[in-house]
Amino acid sequence: MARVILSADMQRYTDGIREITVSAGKYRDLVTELLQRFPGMNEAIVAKHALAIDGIIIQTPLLETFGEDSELVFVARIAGG
Amino acid sequence: MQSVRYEAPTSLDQAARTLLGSENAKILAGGTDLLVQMRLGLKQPGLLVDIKNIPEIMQLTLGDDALRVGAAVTGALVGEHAEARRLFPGFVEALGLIGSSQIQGRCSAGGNLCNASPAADSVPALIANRALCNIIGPAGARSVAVESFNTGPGKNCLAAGELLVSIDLPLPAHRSSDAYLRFIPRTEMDIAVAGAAVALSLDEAGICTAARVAIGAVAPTALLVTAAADALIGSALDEASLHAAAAAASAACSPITDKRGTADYRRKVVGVLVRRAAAIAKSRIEAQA
Amino acid sequence: MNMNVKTEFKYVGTRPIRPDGPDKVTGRARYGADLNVQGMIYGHIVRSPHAHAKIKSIDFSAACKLPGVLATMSADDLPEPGDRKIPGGEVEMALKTFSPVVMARKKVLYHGQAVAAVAATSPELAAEAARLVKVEYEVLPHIMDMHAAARADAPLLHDDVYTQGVDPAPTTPSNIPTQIEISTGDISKGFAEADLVVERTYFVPMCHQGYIEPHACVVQTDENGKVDIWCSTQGAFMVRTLTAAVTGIDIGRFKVTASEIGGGFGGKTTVYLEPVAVVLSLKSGRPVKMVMSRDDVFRATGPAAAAETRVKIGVTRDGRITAIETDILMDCGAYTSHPIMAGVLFNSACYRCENVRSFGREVLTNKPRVYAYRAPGIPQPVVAVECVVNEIAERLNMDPIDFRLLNAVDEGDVMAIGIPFQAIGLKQVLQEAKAHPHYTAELKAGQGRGVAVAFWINAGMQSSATINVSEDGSVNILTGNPDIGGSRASMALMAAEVLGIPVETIRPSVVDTDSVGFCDVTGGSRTTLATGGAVIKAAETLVKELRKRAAAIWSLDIEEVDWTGGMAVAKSGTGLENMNREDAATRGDKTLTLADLAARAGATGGPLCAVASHNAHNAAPSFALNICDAQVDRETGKVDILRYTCVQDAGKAIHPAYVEGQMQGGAVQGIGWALNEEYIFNEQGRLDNPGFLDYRIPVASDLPMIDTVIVEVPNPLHPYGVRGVGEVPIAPPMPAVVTAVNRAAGTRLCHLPLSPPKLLAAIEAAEAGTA
Ligand SMILES: Cc1cc2nc3c(=O)[nH]c(=O)nc-3n(C[C@H](O)[C@H](O)[C@H](O)COP(=O)(O)OP(=O)(O)OC[C@H]3O[C@@H](n4cnc5c(N)ncnc54)[C@H](O)[C@@H]3O)c2cc1C
Repeated sequence: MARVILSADMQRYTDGIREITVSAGKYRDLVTELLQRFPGMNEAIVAKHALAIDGIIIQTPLLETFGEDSELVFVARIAGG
Repeated sequence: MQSVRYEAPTSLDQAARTLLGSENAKILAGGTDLLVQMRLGLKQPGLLVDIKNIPEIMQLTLGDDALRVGAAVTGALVGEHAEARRLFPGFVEALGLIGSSQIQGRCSAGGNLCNASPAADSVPALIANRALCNIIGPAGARSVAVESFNTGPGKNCLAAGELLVSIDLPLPAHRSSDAYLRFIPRTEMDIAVAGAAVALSLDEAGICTAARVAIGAVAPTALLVTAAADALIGSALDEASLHAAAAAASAACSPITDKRGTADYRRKVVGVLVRRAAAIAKSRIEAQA
Repeated sequence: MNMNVKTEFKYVGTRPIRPDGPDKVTGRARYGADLNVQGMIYGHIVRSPHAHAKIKSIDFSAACKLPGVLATMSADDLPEPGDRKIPGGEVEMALKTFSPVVMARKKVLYHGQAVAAVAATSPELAAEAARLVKVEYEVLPHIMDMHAAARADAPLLHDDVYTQGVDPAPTTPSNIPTQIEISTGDISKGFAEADLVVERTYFVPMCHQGYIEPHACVVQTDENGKVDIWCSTQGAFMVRTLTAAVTGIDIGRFKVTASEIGGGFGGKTTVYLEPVAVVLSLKSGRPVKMVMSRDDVFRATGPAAAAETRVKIGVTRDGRITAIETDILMDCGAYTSHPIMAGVLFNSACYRCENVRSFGREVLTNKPRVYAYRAPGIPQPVVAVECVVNEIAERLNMDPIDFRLLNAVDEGDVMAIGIPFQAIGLKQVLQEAKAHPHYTAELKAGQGRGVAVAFWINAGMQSSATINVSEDGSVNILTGNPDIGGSRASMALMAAEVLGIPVETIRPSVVDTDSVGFCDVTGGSRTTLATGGAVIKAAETLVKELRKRAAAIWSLDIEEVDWTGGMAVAKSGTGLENMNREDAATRGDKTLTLADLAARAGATGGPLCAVASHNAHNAAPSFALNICDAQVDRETGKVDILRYTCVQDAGKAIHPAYVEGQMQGGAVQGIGWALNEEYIFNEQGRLDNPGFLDYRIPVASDLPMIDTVIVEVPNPLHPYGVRGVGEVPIAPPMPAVVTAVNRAAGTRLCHLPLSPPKLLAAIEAAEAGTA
């Protein structure tokens, strides 16, 4: 089960839950699982975020996969200069 | 749209006639004020009269009584004049503070004075040195003490058709020198928040026998502060008299608050500059051996 | 995910002269305003004289009567933005937050905002015509102070801005577009565990990037609907995306060529003039040139946000941080752009701390819309955090670097937002600084020293590269990233490393959007990492192709052919590393150089070229530290910076001189922001210092030589270990300078800039015992 840390923005739709575990191994399945678990959340909210997989921030994680013991963190996208 | 004519007379006579014949003429020396102002849309002359081809305007000569600085002689040329540097180090350093190397190749003491900015750097140094302005115009020639030349921000005493030909700095007495300091938040390329020039004469015992103190950027025009000079004359330029001169300068000014500094700040700083400039002028005299 | 990071290099890490250098120092290089084309006319923008007003009508009739005026435009010529979102490189942008910055729609929200434009046959005529455009306004109350704007009863800038990030979602609009809070651990428990708690509030003013080259463009359109743009920008593809969005013209019709660029620092990551020039060109049928004045640049392009940050940090007696709380209010100007995000997420990322709470709000005011400025959103709160850290170290009687070493994050530590760090170089940076002679050099009375560290996340994003080999074996590299800090030199070095050929035989170019695959902007410290990554990838593909060609010539299998020292070698044994032609000849190995293979390209399958594209997911954070010595004139409040040293982890410095340039430039910009730079608005809401005379960036004589130390802790995710280097240098200078100045002056001034009048007042207050 991968561990997922939700962003401050997402926590507004999870009753404040910050950390969950998921059975998904692919980004797409992860999104499905999140939306099932937290009906208040929607795809657009998830899509606003980058996903850090084991410390590596991925801005566009659509095709990403991860392992059973991966650490996943949803993080707001940051603009640079 | 307005077009601009350009004339470059080669004699004072010709210049006077050109000026009189045009309503909206502006004299062009180095152009480092005028061209910038035109670009900003602040001035829109119909005719530019370039005076840099007139011999009298371009002379830099050491006479028996005075150093004569033609109105459009550049800062760079004055800076290279060894006698000017020796006799009037404060004036030369004030003129040398204007702009950068590029600006120095163009800017003039005449332009600095005629532009009549309260913050012009060379003007307090000219005042401290008792400079005289030689003017020519339709009514003939006249001379004006430099402290009376400017009458307000952007305003000078020149009548229609008049132009400044040269500035005379009377040669200083034995054991005299001067100094100029300005305050800017940067080290260069800036406009004085406050400026102070001091010219001194000392006797052999080190007692101040004559002094002139002038301050800039703290009133509508650069000011001659006799009270500050009086505080120095007769003293050995000890801490107490320097502080008294500083206080007199602070009291004499009438600064404004703007983006470059508050009135209160300018008042304080101008006193500090007077004190420090006096100390420098004194040390210059002492170094004359 | 760890890959093999190369650590031994032949070309990477050397300092060849940049290929664009001679053109730049001789004046041959062409910048935005340097292009002139046949039949070109000139655009001029009509700008708002009010800080807040409704546009009631625009009348072009008088302007159009002027002979030589060929086109006019206003927001009516652009599509309504509605709720359209544009996929920007890193973050999505709502069209309505930047289309009105190009051309105001119905309302103006800051002085100098573009309201209309005209084009005429000369710049003077265009300016004259612009003066004749009659705009009728209904003036509205303007609001400049961010605290006032944040109040519930404040006049509204927009009637459709509802604070995001608040529950339940507000039902009334406000001037606060965004609120965000992150937390980890238990903040009250953290403060309860502390022996010392320090809390202070720091203000950082709105400031401009101060790039020397003003925005400029030339647009040419034709009857087939083609739109060619030449402009000064950080990203030609970004200009294409945004200009298409603002004008409603299909992306496929654009070709954008980036000129040489005279600085951007984040400020050229958007469009201002380009869409206007496109419309004027389409309407007039003529090429249109537009160039901003310096005044325009200051008033109407995107400065960096002002911010007030309250920070509260708790520590134990032995110097361990137990809690960090920050609260940021950020002034974003007239439209939202979310610089608050990085500020809230990363303001204390340098420190290991279990209990963190970070809160932030953006506020809209009648000022220009802010845009990115190196590490956007970070320098403002970092001033507060780092100055308080220095104060705490002092009060604990600890050396400020030792204090930081004790609390510094390292590999495996987890950021407040939950992301664990991979290999990072903060500790090495701190140790290098401590060992630097500057750190222990003696100070005289009246002088002070400050240190500060900072973190920046760095971006990856999308890049492409093409490599073409000429018949003689010389190599052209094409990328789409405008070269701001020497990236062409870096691209050539990385290609040289892979291909094993001298860097001088490689010609790197920045090409237009028709000539190379998509590239995100040169920004986010990403170009060396991401575009460089694409270059490495393309070079590797090329090497594989070269081996294939050699194998075909020799009738061998590709696995029997190696590429080393710039040539193909038929494998005959071991010990091939770094072999040269003579070695190979001695061994009796067959070789084919790149030139040999290039000459026979036609016979072996056609021209030699390789293309690579990728979305770089391998960005890694950077840390930087600055040491500043300052001296204060107690009678005038003037500050002299006496000595300055920057230490930074570059991962791998591909071209060390240009890494040092980034470090020095960031230090200089930060020194300026700390001491003198600020936007000064008058009562009418007009910028009072829209020029370099009164907007005081430092001049060379204001500064000591900025010493640099590059630390190299390789990014484990990049083939050469590269991290970004362009942004983090702006973050440590302000707190380093502020600490140094306050120590020198015996003051605790928290309101930047520390300009002489303010500092003198603080000195006098300290002397009078009233501070
Ligand atoms: C980048 C820059 C930096 C600067 N820095 C400083 C500085 O540090 N300190 C400072 O004091 N100034 C500074 N200035 C302002 C300017 O350079 C000086 O005032 C300079 O001395 C003006 O001389 P000029 O010969 O260029 O004058 P011009 O611009 O040619 O003339 C100035 C004005 O005087 C009039 N005028 C000129 N000559 C005569 C004459 N003979 N008779 C009658 N009227 C005349 C002109 O019509 C015009 O109105 C700076 C300007 C620039 C552009």
